[in-house]
Amino acid sequence: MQNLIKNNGVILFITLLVLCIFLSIYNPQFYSIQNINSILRSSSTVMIVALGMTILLTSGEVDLSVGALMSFVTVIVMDIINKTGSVVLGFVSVFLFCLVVGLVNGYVRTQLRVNSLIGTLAMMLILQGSVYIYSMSAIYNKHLISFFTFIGQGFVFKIPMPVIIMLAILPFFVFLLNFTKHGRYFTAIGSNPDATRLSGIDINRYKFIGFVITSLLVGIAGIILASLMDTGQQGSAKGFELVVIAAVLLGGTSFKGGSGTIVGTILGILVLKVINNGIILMGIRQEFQLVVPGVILILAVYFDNLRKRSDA
Amino acid sequence: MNSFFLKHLKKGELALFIIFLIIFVFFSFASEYFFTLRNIMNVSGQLALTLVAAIGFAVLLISGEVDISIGSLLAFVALPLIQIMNYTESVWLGIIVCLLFGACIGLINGFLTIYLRVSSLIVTLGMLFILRGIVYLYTGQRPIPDELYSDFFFNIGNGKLFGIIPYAAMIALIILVMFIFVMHNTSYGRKLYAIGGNAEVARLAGYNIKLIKLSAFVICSVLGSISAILLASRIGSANHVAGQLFEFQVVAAVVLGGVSLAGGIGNLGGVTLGVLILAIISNGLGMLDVDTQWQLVINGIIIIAAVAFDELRRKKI
Amino acid sequence: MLEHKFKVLKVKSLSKQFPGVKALDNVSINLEAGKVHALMGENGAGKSTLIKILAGVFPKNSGQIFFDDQEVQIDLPSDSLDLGIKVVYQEISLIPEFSVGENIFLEKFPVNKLGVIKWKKLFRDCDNLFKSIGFNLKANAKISDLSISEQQVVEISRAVFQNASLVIMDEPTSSLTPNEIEKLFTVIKNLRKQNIAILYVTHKIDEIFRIADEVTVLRDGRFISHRMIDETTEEQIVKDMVGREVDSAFERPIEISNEMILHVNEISTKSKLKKISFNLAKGEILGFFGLVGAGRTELAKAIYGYDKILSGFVEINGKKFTKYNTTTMARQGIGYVTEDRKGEGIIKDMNLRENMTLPSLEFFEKFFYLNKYKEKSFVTDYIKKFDVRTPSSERLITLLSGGNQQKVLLSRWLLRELKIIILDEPTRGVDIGAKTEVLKLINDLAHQGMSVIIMTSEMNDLFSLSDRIFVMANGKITAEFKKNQVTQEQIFKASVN
Repeated sequence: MQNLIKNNGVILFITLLVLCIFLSIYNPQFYSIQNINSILRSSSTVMIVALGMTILLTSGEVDLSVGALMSFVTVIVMDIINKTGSVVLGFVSVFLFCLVVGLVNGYVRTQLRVNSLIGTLAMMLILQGSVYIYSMSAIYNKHLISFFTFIGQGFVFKIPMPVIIMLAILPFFVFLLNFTKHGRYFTAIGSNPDATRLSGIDINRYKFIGFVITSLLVGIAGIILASLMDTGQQGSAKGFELVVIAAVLLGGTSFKGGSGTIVGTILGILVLKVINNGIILMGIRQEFQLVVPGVILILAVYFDNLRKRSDA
Repeated sequence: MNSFFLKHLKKGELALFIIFLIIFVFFSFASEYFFTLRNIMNVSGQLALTLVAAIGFAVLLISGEVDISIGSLLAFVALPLIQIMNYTESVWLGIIVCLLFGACIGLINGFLTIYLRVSSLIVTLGMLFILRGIVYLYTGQRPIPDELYSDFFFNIGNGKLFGIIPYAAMIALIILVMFIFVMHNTSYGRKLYAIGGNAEVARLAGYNIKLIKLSAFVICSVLGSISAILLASRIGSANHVAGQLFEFQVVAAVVLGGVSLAGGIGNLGGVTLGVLILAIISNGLGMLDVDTQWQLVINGIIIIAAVAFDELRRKKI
Repeated sequence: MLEHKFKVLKVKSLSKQFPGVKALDNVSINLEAGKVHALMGENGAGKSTLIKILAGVFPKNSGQIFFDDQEVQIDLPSDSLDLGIKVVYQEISLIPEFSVGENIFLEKFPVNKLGVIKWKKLFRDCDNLFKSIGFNLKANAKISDLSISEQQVVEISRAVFQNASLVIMDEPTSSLTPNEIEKLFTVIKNLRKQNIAILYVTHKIDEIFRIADEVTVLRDGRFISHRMIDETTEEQIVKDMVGREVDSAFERPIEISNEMILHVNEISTKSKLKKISFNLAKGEILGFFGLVGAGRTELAKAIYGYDKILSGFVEINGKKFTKYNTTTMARQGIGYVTEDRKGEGIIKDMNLRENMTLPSLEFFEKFFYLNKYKEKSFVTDYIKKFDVRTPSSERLITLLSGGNQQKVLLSRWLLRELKIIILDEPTRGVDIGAKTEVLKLINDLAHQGMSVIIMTSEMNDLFSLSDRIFVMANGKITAEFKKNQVTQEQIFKASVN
């Protein structure tokens, strides 16, 4: 099992290397600083949410509403800051909103006993619909507060700010999943919830935590996205959940327990983002960006199935 | 129909029928345009689309599998339909090829699920994106209009018998009756229920589960293609955003109609009621000038409620 | 479907070995057409193994099966079905949403050329079938609306319809009312008339004297006796079933302390339990005996908070609990070892160490940091203490043998300071050598002041350890005995009520 995970990372690394070399030769624009930074920025938002998604998948749950929530967050944060001129108020509103969504997801799963795939899918619908009720049109940056713009578009020592934010959050999760008892609990819950319950662990509590953490992380990612776009846009993160899940699966985590590695997930995200970038650079029709995650998802789950079957 | 069928129909569907009546009455009073012949006929024309797809979805769900790519399928199979009509000037050729494409997609979905052992949810989720992506690619994000302007084609989706009864509704009704018969009175139909209800027993009974499930996938996609034809006829083009979020409407209607997500339980009468209820809700809300975005919200809430109820019901069994 | 029924199905010298335990050792039995042959024995005697081999669920290790004079191989369930062997288990294998008629004709619905079902014919044939069996049921009733006994008869009817030659019934009356049992017996008598052989597996001695022609007794996987019913007595059969030397009991203190640590007050659950009450003293070992389905596991889970109780309460050291879950109980110092090792015990994606330390991780953490080295040293200690056969603590738990896995699950709780431990079949699947170690361990724990509730179907364990013995049947406690004041026969009788 350990070997397979290591292999996963190696394959991804080689794939990434090959892709980068190929694209650099095909179009030198690839390794321009602007391009690299753009890839890094969009990878960071995915990674931030992937941290929460990893926890969920490891414990046997999933959250398909992250894309819709992220879009909603961009709208909320931009709107509140426009109206109140206070970045703090904007952030607080976002976090409260995400907290509620996370709690509802948790409630639907643990108290109403609705399968998280369906429950969060329904939440996705609800959010997709309600964002238009909140505001029919996109919300432009009217406040022009530089601190806000800095979050997405700024640099610290030439590194894009989103990456810094991601790197700041990352160690906490690495620690949580690998060096605390809670990380162990999440894996146990995903692998055998009954046995975990019989060991005296409150699995409902941990599932709630998983959903809330994920939603809060989406809040952070959404704020970054709003800052990058300078707009709050209702459909801005469509398909996001697919990329996140594909990345987490590529990184070695699988449905029903068993956590992959953080490194694997990072590599997975980079591979996906570089492919997307390559599609643009090579002038291939952008619509392929929809097809690629779909195919990768099927393949990733297929191979995951194969792996589980050979282990069983 | 045997008495067993009637008895079975009574229990769960009675509640749905009552809900339908209540909502119907409410909107009839709330809006003056609701309870007009014109409106009712319009609604029935629209819901015919959803009903046909819902029947296909329900048949597959009863056998224990799922296909959530029907929305993208709607857009996808409309492409060969419109293109062939435009280039060959033959409506029937377009229809036949459209159905063939649908059947092929069904075969692919079925093959991946049954022989490669990937969960049908994942397969059709991926297919949802792949088909939509192909549609965007092919159309360049612009709808492909019907250039044939065939009366026949127009009538399929928009025409009315005697100027009142939409042909679309009649097509849906014929398909409904056909499938109700098949599901309850043929060996094939009962086998679908058995496979969805208790796969192990079905296996020991010697059923060719693989073949039967494969055929269910094909049925779902072909019926979805028929919906696509109705839609293309109504909007007069192959539209790249057609059917977006359609799968959720269908799922909501089917689950509301009492088909269990686990398979083996449910009947098409309930599905019809589910489709009816959702249709009049959205129609009624439209009459009251409520935003269409609320539909998504309501669909979401209905799905959660229906599934939670389904879980409860299963626990009791 | 079968062409002709056999006159005799001979099973000769059947043996079956599982890792660590010999389930069947040279067992022979002859099943004659038209006769009811009862198979008796305690839990673990080998009855279900014999059934499963005949049903083709898994293959035998050695021995032969003869269909009249011709030897046959049963390697798959389909082989068994081809021979006309049909097992009626307690879990029904019917389609709940279908009608009775559809289930009978499941393999082949009567259809016309187009595949349309001929309902009239289906229901008519079905009614005829039921008449021949002596059963009164509407063919268009839905299975899920029927009672368990009615569902059972539908299954039996299916067997008859498929021209079964042997119907094996596994504990058929365990969920039936006396009225329903009568109906079942009528059906069985009619089966006899149709020259079908019946293997009737049960614990209930009084029943076999009413319905069987002959009886075979197994004990510990071995053939003990075969007798004709009218040539034997109940006492003889009970003796055959339990008659063995019970190992000398462990040293137990004469006086158990009076300090009551657990008081269970009239708890009932949705599924089975009906107003169970009992007390547990500090340092006491309570043994619960009962047959499969008596409700012991349900009781254990209800006390521990895994299942919800509908009424009553549990009192621990004076603290009353009506609504609680496993986390609450664990915090109160209660531990639980499940009988379902694979399903509820081991966490298969984790290794030995992670499995063992799961309930006690707080002891290894300091400021949120989980100290794996401390974990490892503790675990290595316990591996030595209990002689768990493994090259290291990091080995994947699934690679250990069943007995060793059981040891890991037991030691899971020992890293904590427990007041009470609940053990459900702790020596199941553990080989003889390890069994004694496990029992000794439990005794040591009690000596140190821990109170023990042990659910078991092994008379040996029961007598070695228990200070008091409770017998359960049908969700109730039917008897309470003090050890040294009861015989195996008494316990057994109380469990069959």
